Amino acid sequence: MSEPVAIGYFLLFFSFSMVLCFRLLGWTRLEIVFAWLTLIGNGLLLGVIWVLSGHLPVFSLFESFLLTSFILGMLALFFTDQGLDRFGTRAWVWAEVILLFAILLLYPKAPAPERFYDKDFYVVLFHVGRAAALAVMLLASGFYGEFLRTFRRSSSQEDSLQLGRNFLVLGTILFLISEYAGILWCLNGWGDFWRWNYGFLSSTFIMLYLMLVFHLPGRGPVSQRMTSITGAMNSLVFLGIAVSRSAP
Amino acid sequence: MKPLGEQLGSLSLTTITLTVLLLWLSGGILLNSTPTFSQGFESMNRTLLSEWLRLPQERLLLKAWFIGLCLCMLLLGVNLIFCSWRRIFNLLRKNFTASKALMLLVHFLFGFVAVGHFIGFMLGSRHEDIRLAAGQGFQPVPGQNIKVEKIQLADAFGTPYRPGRNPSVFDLNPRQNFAVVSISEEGKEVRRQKISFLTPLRWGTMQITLRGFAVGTDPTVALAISNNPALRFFLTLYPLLIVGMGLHLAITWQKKSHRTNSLTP
Repeated sequence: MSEPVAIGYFLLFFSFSMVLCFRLLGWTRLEIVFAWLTLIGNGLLLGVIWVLSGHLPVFSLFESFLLTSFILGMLALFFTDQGLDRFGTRAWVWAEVILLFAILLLYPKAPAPERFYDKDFYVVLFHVGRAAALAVMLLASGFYGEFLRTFRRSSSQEDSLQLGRNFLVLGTILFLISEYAGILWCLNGWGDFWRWNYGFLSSTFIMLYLMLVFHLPGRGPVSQRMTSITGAMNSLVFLGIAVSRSAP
Repeated sequence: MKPLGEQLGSLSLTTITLTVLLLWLSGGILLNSTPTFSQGFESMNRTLLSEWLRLPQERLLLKAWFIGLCLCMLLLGVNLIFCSWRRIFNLLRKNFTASKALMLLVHFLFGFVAVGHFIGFMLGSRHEDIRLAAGQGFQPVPGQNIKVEKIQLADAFGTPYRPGRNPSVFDLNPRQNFAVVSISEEGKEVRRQKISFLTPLRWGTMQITLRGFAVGTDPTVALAISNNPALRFFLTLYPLLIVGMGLHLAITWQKKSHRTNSLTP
């Protein structure tokens, strides 16, 4: 069962790399065609994992990063400017997708084993919410990265900052929904909504980091830059914690 | 020099407090990863923290870490109160907008959620790893009795048990592996329910959770019996906080301002 899934993964890795290359070369039409085909392939692979494993593809880092890439790719196509700027937000997003696939090189390319609890609503919502939150936060990082790149050079930089903030807040909301589902999962399974362990402490770390990004003082360009840097780094913090929680 | 009230309600203090909290939490994550302190964290999970703080055998460094964490959160709370106080008057006097009012509400809700969390640590009761066989009972408080009426234990996930090892609840089908538990008050049965992994029994503010099984000639269940008076308060306010943030985002999605990063009113 895992071999076709692994082949699918490597094909997608190659296709997303091609999408990024076309973007950097400025071959926009080819980029869009390839991006759509790759995302359809990504969706199909998720569907195959779902059918074969009997659970939603969110229960291992391999599955959840595939879902994150799919959501992130779709968001990029709908919310980022196609434009002529080869190094715009969309290039950042494709690079982030490549990063997710590169991390997965270290992990087994197979569906997670079936468990009895993987049909529980709160368990599923927790995992789906996390994958979606990461995708939206990575998109926000793309906008913040674009803001930093075009700082004082482009009239559209304020838009990037606003979009970065919007998607970061949306990512925070998805993260909180996921945390709430996790709280109910923990309550039903362990009798309390909090445990003093790495999982809970690291989730709190992400939440406090998000609060820090939203509360940086000041109004000027320095503050905007600081917000963009910390905002862009948020997805890396999230990514790092997700990876550390699922050692290969 | 700014007045003390203004300093206590400033965003600079928020930033400093959050940075310290992040560093403090990183310290906690490091401590949690060391074998010396991981036992201490496990002990924090098993006991109410108001009782845990009084345990003489717990390590001083871990207690100091926890107290430091509480102090940082307290400072954040003071900052929230002073900041909100100033902004309420500002909002009422001159700049009333729906987004500012909503964001103020979200901050209040966050404060209440944090307080609910803290109350859950300190008040109520918690009894972990109560091992009972069928027919045995446990008294969490005088006059109240929890009795295991029946234990059904089938094979684990298609594979038989390994001798000498208890099965993990993760590997057991909850439909085939469960216990029937009853609650009596003053000798009168008030509730009886089948409980399995992820399906606890709730009675008022008390919860009985099935945490595991132990095999043997007389199989037993491991139960967690908890009572958190702030649970409903916490579980109600948390989603309201999320809804408030969602509404604020919807209102301000198109907004163009110099402080686009700001979530504060």
